[in-house]
Amino acid sequence: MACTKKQCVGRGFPLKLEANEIAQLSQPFNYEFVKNIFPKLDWNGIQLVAKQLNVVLPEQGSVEDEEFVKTLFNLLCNLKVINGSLTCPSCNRVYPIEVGIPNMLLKEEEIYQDIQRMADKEKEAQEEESDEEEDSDEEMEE
Amino acid sequence: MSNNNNRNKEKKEKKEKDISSTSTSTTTSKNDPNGERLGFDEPKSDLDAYRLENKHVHNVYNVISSHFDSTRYKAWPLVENYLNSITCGSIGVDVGCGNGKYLNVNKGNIYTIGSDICQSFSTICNEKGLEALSADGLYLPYQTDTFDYAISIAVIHHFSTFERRVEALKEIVRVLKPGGTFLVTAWAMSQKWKGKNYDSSDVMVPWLFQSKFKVEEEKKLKEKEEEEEISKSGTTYQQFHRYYHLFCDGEFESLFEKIQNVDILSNNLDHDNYYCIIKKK
Ligand SMILES: [Zn+2]
Repeated sequence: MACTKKQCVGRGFPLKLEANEIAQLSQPFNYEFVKNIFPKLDWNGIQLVAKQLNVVLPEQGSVEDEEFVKTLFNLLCNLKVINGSLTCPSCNRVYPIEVGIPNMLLKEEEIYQDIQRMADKEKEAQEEESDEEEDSDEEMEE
Repeated sequence: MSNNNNRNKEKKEKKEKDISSTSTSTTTSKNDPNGERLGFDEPKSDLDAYRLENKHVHNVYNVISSHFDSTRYKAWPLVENYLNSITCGSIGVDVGCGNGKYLNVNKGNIYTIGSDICQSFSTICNEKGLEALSADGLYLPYQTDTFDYAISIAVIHHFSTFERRVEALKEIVRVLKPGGTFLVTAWAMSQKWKGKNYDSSDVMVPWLFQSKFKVEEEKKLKEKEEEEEISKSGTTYQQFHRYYHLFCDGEFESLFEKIQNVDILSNNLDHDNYYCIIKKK
Protein backbone atom coordinates (compact mmCIF):
# COMPACT_ATOMS: atom_id res chain seq x y z
CA MET A 1 0.00 0.00 0.00
CA ALA A 2 1.21 3.47 -0.86
CA CYS A 3 0.08 7.04 -0.30
CA THR A 4 -2.58 8.19 -2.79
CA LYS A 5 -1.33 11.74 -3.07
CA LYS A 6 0.23 12.47 -6.45
CA GLN A 7 3.11 14.31 -4.80
CA CYS A 8 3.94 11.09 -2.93
CA VAL A 9 4.02 8.70 -5.92
CA GLY A 10 7.36 6.91 -5.65
CA ARG A 11 7.95 8.24 -2.11
CA GLY A 12 4.89 7.51 0.00
CA PHE A 13 5.82 3.89 0.56
CA PRO A 14 5.58 1.74 2.55
CA LEU A 15 2.77 3.13 4.65
CA LYS A 16 3.43 2.64 8.34
CA LEU A 17 0.89 0.22 9.73
CA GLU A 18 -0.54 0.57 13.18
CA ALA A 19 -2.82 -2.25 14.31
CA ASN A 20 -5.21 -1.95 17.24
CA GLU A 21 -7.34 -4.96 16.48
CA ILE A 22 -6.41 -8.00 14.40
CA ALA A 23 -8.58 -10.88 13.20
CA GLN A 24 -7.37 -14.39 12.46
CA LEU A 25 -8.95 -15.83 9.32
CA SER A 26 -8.84 -19.44 8.17
CA GLN A 27 -8.17 -19.57 4.44
CA PRO A 28 -6.97 -22.99 3.32
CA PHE A 29 -3.20 -23.24 2.89
CA ASN A 30 -1.91 -23.16 -0.69
CA TYR A 31 1.80 -23.97 -1.13
CA GLU A 32 1.87 -23.19 -4.85
CA PHE A 33 0.51 -19.71 -4.18
CA VAL A 34 3.18 -18.83 -1.60
CA LYS A 35 5.95 -20.33 -3.73
CA ASN A 36 4.97 -18.19 -6.72
CA ILE A 37 4.28 -15.04 -4.79
CA PHE A 38 7.44 -15.19 -2.67
CA PRO A 39 9.92 -13.83 -5.24
CA LYS A 40 7.60 -10.92 -5.99
CA LEU A 41 7.26 -9.72 -2.43
CA ASP A 42 8.77 -6.51 -1.17
CA TRP A 43 10.69 -8.20 1.61
CA ASN A 44 11.41 -5.05 3.62
CA GLY A 45 7.74 -4.11 3.57
CA ILE A 46 6.75 -7.61 4.65
CA GLN A 47 9.23 -7.50 7.55
CA LEU A 48 7.78 -4.20 8.76
CA VAL A 49 4.21 -5.49 8.61
CA ALA A 50 5.23 -8.73 10.36
CA LYS A 51 6.73 -6.72 13.21
CA GLN A 52 3.53 -4.70 13.59
CA LEU A 53 1.44 -7.87 13.71
CA ASN A 54 3.83 -9.67 16.08
CA VAL A 55 4.72 -12.35 13.56
CA VAL A 56 8.29 -13.65 13.78
CA LEU A 57 9.92 -14.07 10.39
CA PRO A 58 13.53 -15.14 9.79
CA GLU A 59 15.90 -12.64 8.20
CA GLN A 60 15.91 -14.66 5.00
CA GLY A 61 13.27 -17.20 4.11
CA SER A 62 13.22 -20.13 1.75
CA VAL A 63 10.24 -21.77 0.08
CA GLU A 64 11.81 -25.15 0.95
CA ASP A 65 11.26 -24.40 4.65
CA GLU A 66 7.77 -25.68 5.41
CA GLU A 67 7.34 -23.78 8.63
CA PHE A 68 8.43 -20.52 7.03
CA VAL A 69 6.01 -20.98 4.12
CA LYS A 70 3.16 -21.59 6.54
CA THR A 71 4.05 -18.53 8.61
CA LEU A 72 4.24 -16.40 5.50
CA PHE A 73 0.91 -17.69 4.21
CA ASN A 74 -0.67 -16.90 7.55
CA LEU A 75 0.74 -13.39 7.46
CA LEU A 76 -0.35 -12.75 3.87
CA CYS A 77 -3.75 -14.37 3.83
CA ASN A 78 -5.01 -14.97 7.33
CA LEU A 79 -4.21 -11.89 9.36
CA LYS A 80 -6.53 -8.98 8.87
CA VAL A 81 -6.26 -5.65 10.60
CA ILE A 82 -9.76 -4.75 11.79
CA ASN A 83 -8.90 -1.47 13.38
CA GLY A 84 -5.81 0.65 12.94
CA SER A 85 -4.20 3.11 10.61
CA LEU A 86 -1.72 3.59 7.77
CA THR A 87 0.58 6.60 7.77
CA CYS A 88 2.48 8.00 4.81
CA PRO A 89 6.23 8.29 5.49
CA SER A 90 6.45 11.24 3.10
CA CYS A 91 3.51 13.54 3.91
CA ASN A 92 2.30 11.97 7.19
CA ARG A 93 -1.27 11.65 5.92
CA VAL A 94 -3.05 9.13 8.17
CA TYR A 95 -5.44 6.68 6.52
CA PRO A 96 -7.79 4.99 8.99
CA ILE A 97 -8.64 1.27 8.95
CA GLU A 98 -12.13 0.68 10.30
CA VAL A 99 -14.14 -2.57 10.39
CA GLY A 100 -11.34 -4.13 8.39
CA ILE A 101 -11.46 -1.59 5.56
CA PRO A 102 -8.60 0.81 4.85
CA ASN A 103 -10.10 4.14 3.86
CA MET A 104 -7.74 5.55 1.23
CA LEU A 105 -10.10 8.26 -0.02
CA LEU A 106 -8.89 11.83 -0.19
CA LYS A 107 -11.23 14.69 0.60
CA GLU A 108 -12.25 17.05 -2.18
CA GLU A 109 -10.13 19.83 -0.66
CA GLU A 110 -7.06 17.58 -0.53
CA ILE A 111 -7.39 16.60 -4.20
CA TYR A 112 -7.87 20.11 -5.50
CA GLN A 113 -5.34 21.72 -3.19
CA ASP A 114 -2.77 19.25 -4.45
CA ILE A 115 -3.64 19.87 -8.08
CA GLN A 116 -3.34 23.63 -7.53
CA ARG A 117 -0.09 23.23 -5.64
CA MET A 118 1.47 21.11 -8.38
CA ALA A 119 0.35 23.56 -11.06
CA ASP A 120 1.89 26.41 -9.06
CA LYS A 121 5.13 24.51 -8.68
CA GLU A 122 5.31 23.86 -12.41
CA LYS A 123 4.69 27.52 -13.12
CA GLU A 124 7.36 28.50 -10.62
CA ALA A 125 9.84 26.14 -12.22
CA GLN A 126 9.14 27.59 -15.64
CA GLU A 127 9.50 31.11 -14.38
CA GLU A 128 12.75 30.25 -12.70
CA GLU A 129 14.09 28.80 -15.92
CA SER A 130 13.32 31.92 -17.87
CA ASP A 131 14.64 34.03 -15.06
CA GLU A 132 18.36 34.58 -15.43
CA GLU A 133 18.74 36.54 -12.24
CA GLU A 134 19.79 34.82 -9.07
CA ASP A 135 18.14 37.00 -6.47
CA SER A 136 14.78 35.23 -6.15
CA ASP A 137 16.10 32.04 -4.73
CA GLU A 138 13.71 31.37 -1.89
CA GLU A 139 12.71 27.75 -1.87
CA MET A 140 9.69 26.79 0.11
CA GLU A 141 9.43 23.42 1.80
CA GLU A 142 5.90 22.17 1.64
CA MET B 1 -17.96 -18.79 5.38
CA SER B 2 -21.43 -19.84 6.51
CA ASN B 3 -22.53 -16.29 5.93
CA ASN B 4 -21.40 -16.60 2.40
CA ASN B 5 -23.24 -19.85 1.83
CA ASN B 6 -26.44 -18.41 3.19
CA ARG B 7 -26.16 -15.51 0.90
CA ASN B 8 -25.69 -17.74 -2.12
CA LYS B 9 -28.57 -19.91 -1.07
CA GLU B 10 -30.83 -16.93 -0.70
CA LYS B 11 -29.91 -15.83 -4.14
CA LYS B 12 -30.63 -19.20 -5.67
CA GLU B 13 -33.96 -19.33 -3.91
CA LYS B 14 -34.95 -16.05 -5.38
CA LYS B 15 -34.50 -17.50 -8.85
CA GLU B 16 -34.49 -13.99 -10.03
CA LYS B 17 -33.66 -13.78 -13.67
CA ASP B 18 -30.35 -12.14 -14.20
CA ILE B 19 -31.09 -10.08 -17.22
CA SER B 20 -27.64 -8.91 -17.98
CA SER B 21 -24.19 -10.21 -17.52
CA THR B 22 -22.24 -7.14 -16.53
CA SER B 23 -21.93 -5.53 -13.19
CA THR B 24 -23.87 -2.40 -13.91
CA SER B 25 -25.69 -2.97 -17.10
CA THR B 26 -28.62 -4.94 -15.86
CA THR B 27 -32.13 -4.04 -15.13
CA THR B 28 -32.38 -0.93 -17.19
CA SER B 29 -35.44 -2.19 -18.95
CA LYS B 30 -37.06 -2.97 -15.62
CA ASN B 31 -35.63 0.18 -14.16
CA ASP B 32 -36.58 2.53 -16.90
CA PRO B 33 -40.35 2.55 -17.07
CA ASN B 34 -40.85 5.65 -19.10
CA GLY B 35 -37.45 6.24 -20.58
CA GLU B 36 -37.22 9.58 -18.85
CA ARG B 37 -34.09 11.60 -19.32
CA LEU B 38 -32.66 13.96 -16.82
CA GLY B 39 -30.78 16.89 -18.20
CA PHE B 40 -27.46 17.90 -16.71
CA ASP B 41 -24.75 20.43 -17.27
CA GLU B 42 -21.60 19.41 -19.03
CA PRO B 43 -18.76 19.72 -16.50
CA LYS B 44 -16.65 22.79 -17.24
CA SER B 45 -13.75 21.94 -14.97
CA ASP B 46 -12.27 18.88 -13.35
CA LEU B 47 -13.83 19.95 -10.06
CA ASP B 48 -17.26 20.15 -11.75
CA ALA B 49 -16.71 16.66 -13.13
CA TYR B 50 -15.68 15.38 -9.72
CA ARG B 51 -18.82 16.84 -8.17
CA LEU B 52 -21.08 15.45 -10.90
CA GLU B 53 -19.62 11.97 -10.37
CA ASN B 54 -19.93 12.37 -6.63
CA LYS B 55 -23.60 13.22 -6.84
CA HIS B 56 -24.69 10.99 -9.69
CA VAL B 57 -22.42 8.00 -9.24
CA HIS B 58 -20.83 7.66 -5.80
CA ASN B 59 -23.70 8.91 -3.67
CA VAL B 60 -26.27 6.95 -5.64
CA TYR B 61 -24.33 3.69 -5.33
CA ASN B 62 -23.76 4.37 -1.65
CA VAL B 63 -27.53 4.28 -1.24
CA ILE B 64 -28.52 1.54 -3.66
CA SER B 65 -25.55 -0.77 -2.98
CA SER B 66 -27.46 -3.47 -1.09
CA HIS B 67 -30.28 -3.47 -3.64
CA PHE B 68 -27.63 -3.58 -6.37
CA ASP B 69 -25.89 -6.44 -4.61
CA SER B 70 -29.11 -8.47 -4.55
CA THR B 71 -29.46 -8.22 -8.33
CA ARG B 72 -25.82 -8.50 -9.47
CA TYR B 73 -24.32 -11.79 -8.60
CA LYS B 74 -23.80 -13.55 -11.88
CA ALA B 75 -20.26 -13.20 -13.13
CA TRP B 76 -19.76 -12.21 -16.73
CA PRO B 77 -18.14 -15.27 -18.44
CA LEU B 78 -15.74 -13.04 -20.32
CA VAL B 79 -14.31 -11.66 -17.08
CA GLU B 80 -14.35 -15.09 -15.46
CA ASN B 81 -12.39 -16.59 -18.35
CA TYR B 82 -9.85 -13.80 -18.18
CA LEU B 83 -9.30 -14.31 -14.44
CA ASN B 84 -9.14 -18.09 -14.80
CA SER B 85 -6.37 -17.70 -17.37
CA ILE B 86 -4.08 -15.85 -14.91
CA THR B 87 -1.12 -17.86 -13.54
CA CYS B 88 -1.13 -19.15 -9.97
CA GLY B 89 0.55 -16.85 -7.46
CA SER B 90 -0.40 -13.68 -9.34
CA ILE B 91 -1.62 -10.58 -7.55
CA GLY B 92 -4.02 -8.18 -9.17
CA VAL B 93 -6.50 -5.38 -8.63
CA ASP B 94 -10.16 -4.92 -9.38
CA VAL B 95 -10.68 -1.17 -9.63
CA GLY B 96 -14.31 -0.28 -8.93
CA CYS B 97 -15.06 -3.76 -7.63
CA GLY B 98 -18.68 -3.02 -6.68
CA ASN B 99 -20.19 -5.92 -4.73
CA GLY B 100 -17.04 -7.96 -5.29
CA LYS B 101 -18.40 -10.66 -7.55
CA TYR B 102 -15.05 -11.05 -9.33
CA LEU B 103 -12.83 -11.03 -6.23
CA ASN B 104 -13.48 -14.72 -5.63
CA VAL B 105 -12.84 -15.96 -9.17
CA ASN B 106 -9.87 -18.39 -9.33
CA LYS B 107 -9.57 -18.00 -5.57
CA GLY B 108 -6.63 -19.68 -3.90
CA ASN B 109 -4.56 -19.40 -7.06
CA ILE B 110 -4.65 -15.70 -7.64
CA TYR B 111 -5.20 -12.86 -5.23
CA THR B 112 -7.40 -9.99 -6.34
CA ILE B 113 -7.57 -6.86 -4.21
CA GLY B 114 -10.71 -4.86 -4.79
CA SER B 115 -11.26 -1.17 -4.35
CA ASP B 116 -14.25 1.06 -4.77
CA ILE B 117 -14.87 4.73 -4.19
CA CYS B 118 -18.26 3.83 -2.65
CA GLN B 119 -17.62 2.82 0.90
CA SER B 120 -20.84 0.86 1.10
CA PHE B 121 -19.45 -1.46 -1.59
CA SER B 122 -16.18 -2.05 0.25
CA THR B 123 -18.29 -2.82 3.31
CA ILE B 124 -20.42 -5.35 1.40
CA CYS B 125 -17.23 -7.03 0.10
CA ASN B 126 -15.73 -7.24 3.55
CA GLU B 127 -18.89 -8.76 4.96
CA LYS B 128 -18.51 -11.49 2.34
CA GLY B 129 -14.91 -12.06 3.46
CA LEU B 130 -13.46 -10.48 0.33
CA GLU B 131 -10.49 -8.13 0.33
CA ALA B 132 -11.55 -4.61 -0.62
CA LEU B 133 -10.62 -1.12 0.37
CA SER B 134 -12.06 2.32 -0.23
CA ALA B 135 -10.11 4.23 -2.85
CA ASP B 136 -10.61 6.64 -5.72
CA GLY B 137 -9.75 5.07 -9.09
CA LEU B 138 -7.78 8.20 -9.97
CA TYR B 139 -5.65 7.88 -6.83
CA LEU B 140 -4.87 4.23 -6.27
CA PRO B 141 -3.02 3.44 -3.03
CA TYR B 142 -0.47 1.16 -4.70
CA GLN B 143 3.10 1.49 -5.86
CA THR B 144 4.00 1.81 -9.52
CA ASP B 145 4.74 -1.49 -11.39
CA THR B 146 3.20 -3.74 -8.72
CA PHE B 147 0.48 -5.99 -10.12
CA ASP B 148 0.43 -8.89 -12.55
CA TYR B 149 -3.09 -8.15 -13.78
CA ALA B 150 -5.96 -5.72 -13.37
CA ILE B 151 -9.65 -5.54 -14.16
CA SER B 152 -12.05 -2.64 -14.18
CA ILE B 153 -15.51 -3.77 -15.14
CA ALA B 154 -18.22 -1.29 -16.06
CA VAL B 155 -16.49 1.54 -14.21
CA ILE B 156 -14.73 3.75 -16.75
CA HIS B 157 -18.08 4.91 -18.18
CA HIS B 158 -18.83 6.66 -14.87
CA PHE B 159 -16.03 9.20 -15.39
CA SER B 160 -17.52 12.31 -16.94
CA THR B 161 -14.75 13.81 -19.06
CA PHE B 162 -12.35 12.43 -21.65
CA GLU B 163 -9.38 13.60 -19.56
CA ARG B 164 -10.64 11.83 -16.46
CA ARG B 165 -11.20 8.61 -18.42
CA VAL B 166 -7.63 8.81 -19.69
CA GLU B 167 -6.33 9.52 -16.17
CA ALA B 168 -8.30 6.60 -14.75
CA LEU B 169 -6.84 4.18 -17.31
CA LYS B 170 -3.37 5.67 -16.82
CA GLU B 171 -3.58 5.14 -13.08
CA ILE B 172 -4.38 1.44 -13.51
CA VAL B 173 -1.60 1.06 -16.07
CA ARG B 174 0.76 2.78 -13.61
CA VAL B 175 0.27 0.13 -10.91
CA LEU B 176 0.56 -2.72 -13.43
CA LYS B 177 3.92 -4.44 -13.92
CA PRO B 178 5.50 -4.23 -17.35
CA GLY B 179 4.15 -7.28 -19.16
CA GLY B 180 1.01 -7.27 -17.01
CA THR B 181 -2.42 -7.31 -18.64
CA PHE B 182 -5.58 -5.35 -17.91
CA LEU B 183 -9.20 -6.04 -18.86
CA VAL B 184 -11.46 -3.00 -19.02
CA THR B 185 -15.12 -2.84 -20.09
CA ALA B 186 -17.64 -0.06 -20.70
CA TRP B 187 -21.24 0.28 -21.79
CA ALA B 188 -21.75 0.79 -25.48
CA MET B 189 -23.90 3.54 -26.88
CA SER B 190 -25.68 1.19 -29.21
CA GLN B 191 -27.40 -1.39 -27.06
CA LYS B 192 -28.72 -3.76 -29.67
CA TRP B 193 -28.65 -6.77 -27.40
CA LYS B 194 -30.90 -5.14 -24.86
CA GLY B 195 -32.94 -3.54 -27.61
CA LYS B 196 -32.30 -0.06 -26.32
CA ASN B 197 -30.96 2.98 -28.00
CA TYR B 198 -29.49 6.05 -26.46
CA ASP B 199 -29.49 9.24 -28.43
CA SER B 200 -26.57 10.82 -26.61
CA SER B 201 -23.29 9.53 -25.28
CA ASP B 202 -23.71 11.22 -21.88
CA VAL B 203 -26.86 10.01 -20.17
CA MET B 204 -28.57 9.70 -16.83
CA VAL B 205 -29.87 6.20 -16.31
CA PRO B 206 -32.60 5.82 -13.71
CA TRP B 207 -32.46 3.25 -10.96
CA LEU B 208 -35.66 2.33 -9.20
CA PHE B 209 -34.75 1.83 -5.62
CA GLN B 210 -36.88 -0.50 -3.56
CA SER B 211 -37.50 1.00 -0.17
CA LYS B 212 -36.92 -2.31 1.60
CA PHE B 213 -33.20 -1.84 1.08
CA LYS B 214 -33.29 1.50 2.81
CA VAL B 215 -30.40 2.20 5.13
CA GLU B 216 -29.38 5.06 7.36
CA GLU B 217 -27.10 6.53 4.73
CA GLU B 218 -29.98 7.05 2.39
CA LYS B 219 -31.69 9.51 4.70
CA LYS B 220 -28.68 11.77 4.50
CA LEU B 221 -28.85 11.73 0.74
CA LYS B 222 -32.55 12.35 0.67
CA GLU B 223 -32.02 15.73 2.22
CA LYS B 224 -29.86 17.00 -0.56
CA GLU B 225 -30.86 15.10 -3.68
CA GLU B 226 -33.86 15.37 -5.86
CA GLU B 227 -35.66 12.12 -6.37
CA GLU B 228 -39.11 10.94 -7.23
CA GLU B 229 -41.28 8.24 -5.78
CA ILE B 230 -42.84 5.86 -8.23
CA SER B 231 -45.43 3.22 -7.55
CA LYS B 232 -45.37 0.12 -9.69
CA SER B 233 -47.42 -3.03 -9.09
CA GLY B 234 -47.92 -2.19 -5.45
CA THR B 235 -44.26 -1.55 -4.63
CA THR B 236 -42.98 1.90 -3.94
CA TYR B 237 -39.76 2.81 -5.62
CA GLN B 238 -37.54 5.81 -5.41
CA GLN B 239 -35.91 6.90 -8.57
CA PHE B 240 -32.23 7.79 -8.66
CA HIS B 241 -30.20 8.81 -11.66
CA ARG B 242 -26.80 7.42 -12.43
CA TYR B 243 -24.47 9.18 -14.83
CA TYR B 244 -23.04 7.17 -17.75
CA HIS B 245 -20.77 8.09 -20.59
CA LEU B 246 -21.60 5.55 -23.28
CA PHE B 247 -18.77 4.33 -25.46
CA CYS B 248 -18.63 4.45 -29.26
CA ASP B 249 -16.67 2.38 -31.73
CA GLY B 250 -12.99 3.26 -31.51
CA GLU B 251 -13.33 5.06 -28.22
CA PHE B 252 -11.04 2.75 -26.25
CA GLU B 253 -8.44 3.21 -29.00
CA SER B 254 -8.58 6.99 -28.70
CA LEU B 255 -8.21 6.79 -24.91
CA PHE B 256 -5.29 4.38 -25.03
CA GLU B 257 -3.67 6.51 -27.72
CA LYS B 258 -2.96 8.99 -24.92
CA ILE B 259 -1.14 6.35 -22.93
CA GLN B 260 2.28 5.54 -24.27
CA ASN B 261 3.34 2.29 -22.67
CA VAL B 262 0.49 -0.01 -23.70
CA ASP B 263 -0.46 -2.37 -26.51
CA ILE B 264 -4.08 -3.23 -27.19
CA LEU B 265 -4.35 -7.03 -27.35
CA SER B 266 -8.05 -7.21 -28.12
CA ASN B 267 -10.99 -4.88 -28.36
CA ASN B 268 -14.51 -6.10 -29.03
CA LEU B 269 -18.19 -5.76 -28.34
CA ASP B 270 -19.95 -8.33 -26.17
CA HIS B 271 -23.51 -7.99 -24.88
CA ASP B 272 -23.61 -4.24 -25.43
CA ASN B 273 -20.29 -3.71 -23.68
CA TYR B 274 -16.97 -2.83 -25.18
CA TYR B 275 -14.19 -4.84 -23.65
CA CYS B 276 -10.56 -4.23 -24.18
CA ILE B 277 -7.49 -6.17 -23.04
CA ILE B 278 -4.23 -4.29 -22.97
CA LYS B 279 -0.67 -5.16 -22.07
CA LYS B 280 1.80 -2.82 -20.40
CA LYS B 281 5.08 -2.53 -22.28
ZN1 LIG C 1 1.83 10.96 1.27
